Amino acid sequence: MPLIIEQDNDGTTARLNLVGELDTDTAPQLRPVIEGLAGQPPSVLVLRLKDLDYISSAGLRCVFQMKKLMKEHGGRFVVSEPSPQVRKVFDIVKAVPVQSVFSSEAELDAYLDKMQRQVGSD
Amino acid sequence: MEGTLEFPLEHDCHQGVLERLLAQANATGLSACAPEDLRLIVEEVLTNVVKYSGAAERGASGTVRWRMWPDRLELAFEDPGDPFDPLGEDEDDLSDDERCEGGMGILLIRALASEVGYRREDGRNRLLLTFTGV
Repeated sequence: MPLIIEQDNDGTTARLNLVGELDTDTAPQLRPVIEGLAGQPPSVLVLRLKDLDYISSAGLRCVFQMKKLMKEHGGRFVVSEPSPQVRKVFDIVKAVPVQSVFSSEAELDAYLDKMQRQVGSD
Repeated sequence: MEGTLEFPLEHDCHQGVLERLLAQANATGLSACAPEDLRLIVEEVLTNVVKYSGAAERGASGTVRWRMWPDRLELAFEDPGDPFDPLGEDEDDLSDDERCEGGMGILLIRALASEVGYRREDGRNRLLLTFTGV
């Protein structure tokens, strides 16, 4: 099954919606996307994985590269709605801290709203 | 149910092996290893062999032997590549930076399999994996 990458970036928050499978064959598709983010890093990168059915170590490397990129630029990296299989693999390799994983879109939106209010009051 | 599959060690060889094993798993009613976990295991093992053993460059073939019951799966991956014990690698404590470069395949295999073993015999690497669903 191929990988479909949907992107949305408002300059502050970038959302990557991955659909399909992220494995040895499809992981190279993410390289230019990661390079693009590195050129203009957002404040928040949301990786939406509701429709990602499968991830292997090749895909995990991409996830760690995005996590590193955001850390280097002082941004936040969060994961939204990972499927059970992807969540299991993430847990094995400790890909993302528990507090950075959101189980629903509503939970994520509440987090992003809270962040924006904090920035607005600074 | 048991069987052996020999295949050329090349990019994407895991796809054909997986299809064969999934068909056997379906016929056996295998519950000891979920299909998506079996896929992960086959991809991680064979990708590592093709990339790092040197056997693919020599045009060599690999072998997978399986024994399957509904509640137990035994897999033996064999290749004539350079001696390499993947279980000797400690990947548990890799930093995030190191994980950007890889090294998570064996960690996944160890976590998903009930038992793992490695032997070097007759000039071949033998990776032995057992799944019992526990």
